[in-house]
Amino acid sequence: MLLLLPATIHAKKVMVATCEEGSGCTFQISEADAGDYDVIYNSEAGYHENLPENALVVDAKIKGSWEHYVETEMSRSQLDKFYGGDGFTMIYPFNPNFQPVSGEWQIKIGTVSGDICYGQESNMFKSMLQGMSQSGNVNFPHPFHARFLMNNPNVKWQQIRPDLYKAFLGNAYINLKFDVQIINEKKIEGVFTATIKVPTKEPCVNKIPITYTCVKEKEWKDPWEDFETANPDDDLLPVTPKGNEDELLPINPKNDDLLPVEPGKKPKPNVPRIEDKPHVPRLEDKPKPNIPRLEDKPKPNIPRIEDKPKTNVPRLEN
Amino acid sequence: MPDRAKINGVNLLNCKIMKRNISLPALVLLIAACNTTHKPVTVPTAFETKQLISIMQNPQSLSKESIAKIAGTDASEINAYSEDLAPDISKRTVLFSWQNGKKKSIKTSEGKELQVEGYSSLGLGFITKISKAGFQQKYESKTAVQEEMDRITQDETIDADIAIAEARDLAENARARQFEKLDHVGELSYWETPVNALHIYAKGICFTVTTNFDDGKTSKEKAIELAQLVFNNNP
Repeated sequence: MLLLLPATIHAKKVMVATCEEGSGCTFQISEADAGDYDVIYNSEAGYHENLPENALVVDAKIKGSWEHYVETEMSRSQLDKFYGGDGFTMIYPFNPNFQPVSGEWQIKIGTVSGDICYGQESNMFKSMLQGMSQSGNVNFPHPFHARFLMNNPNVKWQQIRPDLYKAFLGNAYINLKFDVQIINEKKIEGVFTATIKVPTKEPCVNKIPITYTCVKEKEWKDPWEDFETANPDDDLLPVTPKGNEDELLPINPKNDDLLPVEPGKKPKPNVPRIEDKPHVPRLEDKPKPNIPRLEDKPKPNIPRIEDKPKTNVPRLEN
Repeated sequence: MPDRAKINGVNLLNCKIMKRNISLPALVLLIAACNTTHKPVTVPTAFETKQLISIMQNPQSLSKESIAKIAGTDASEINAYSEDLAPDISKRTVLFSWQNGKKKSIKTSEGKELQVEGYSSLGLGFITKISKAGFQQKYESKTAVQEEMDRITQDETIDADIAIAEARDLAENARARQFEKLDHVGELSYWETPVNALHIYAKGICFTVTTNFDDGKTSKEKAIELAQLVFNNNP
């Protein structure tokens, strides 16, 4: 029974495709669990969890409007070609199309509009919003999530489209809703809606627009500059992230649940092999000194939470 | 090792099998298709890697008129995209697409029918420094796919879920992928199906010309034309 535990704990993700007419698609493994998509798209419980292995959850911009559907007939390459792409696809660790740039961002909180709540024309919500909002020099972690815009771990966020997020906070009496849209990599717009409900009275609704604008993008080096001087025998590919190479993204170990994957922490997949390869001596195959290590203590045979079930990757010879 | 004779042998065998089961007019067309030759595309002595890099940095450095000429459409119809999202520059591409006048439709699981404009495209990218032998090995070696899967799954910087999905995709596609060695395009080149792409080696680098047309023959012709354009494009 315990052995079955990891399989039940590991929540299924879905393969998300973001497509646009004429330019093809990009692909990512969803940040949200498959079950969350049932809530977002109001589908019956378990629908996304039980999609076939090859299913692609598609957000497509067709004639300027976003459409959402599930594709089960086409492969990634076929879907990319369907939307005019070249058929070569890769899976990104996050949606590459909607990642705001790092740099200096300014926040502009607009004028409160709506009802005068119970005789008080108050900007209470505006000051609250100022306290919660991120501004100044910002290094947005990748993948970006709108939660990084608010310094409040109690806000519950949902990504409902590649460029659109919704957030909720509050209780039965004060309900706060935040709609955020990534307009482009240098502009994010949002509307904060505060609803106060008092028994026997009509709900009082206030709306506050909020705009985030990147005023100075962090300088980054054109990665192609080094291409001609790169050594072809160097098997380290020229990877040049935006921004200064040595700068690490800010990580908040307490609240940030989107920490980058640490080498060795996740189980590596069961690699499919065409044929057994001869034993090639590797650097790590050098005889190691017989020094007792801390981790050499006998381990209890308890399945670990992080031991994801190994996927049965098809073998070429099948 | 699937050498050229073997690859061509498979193509010839396919053609022979088809010839037995079809009518004469179709047979003539098929023979023409099976015996297609292409114009040689030599690498100019003056060709430099920076010509390619210049296109990757700015797709507009290839004139829309010249792309339109290959595409058989008007220059105003050509849209250029720079797919520079991958941190690894050897995965980056540029894409030139245009509406081909065909309408497509998708029926969603909710029963909604979506009308989508049909697009064709030509593209360029996947520029990598490589030796000629390494390039040949990449497309002729039986173990190349396995090595790529090993690389992905052993790379600690790649998320395990992504590594599994990519390895699975490689394994599934490996069954269908075919490489035909082409004569006289670059220093060495391979035509890949079913994705219809031309992988070219020239002067210590390799790059890929991608296509999105309805049929393989047109795709190959257009890819070769674009390769010619790239070699002769001086920024």
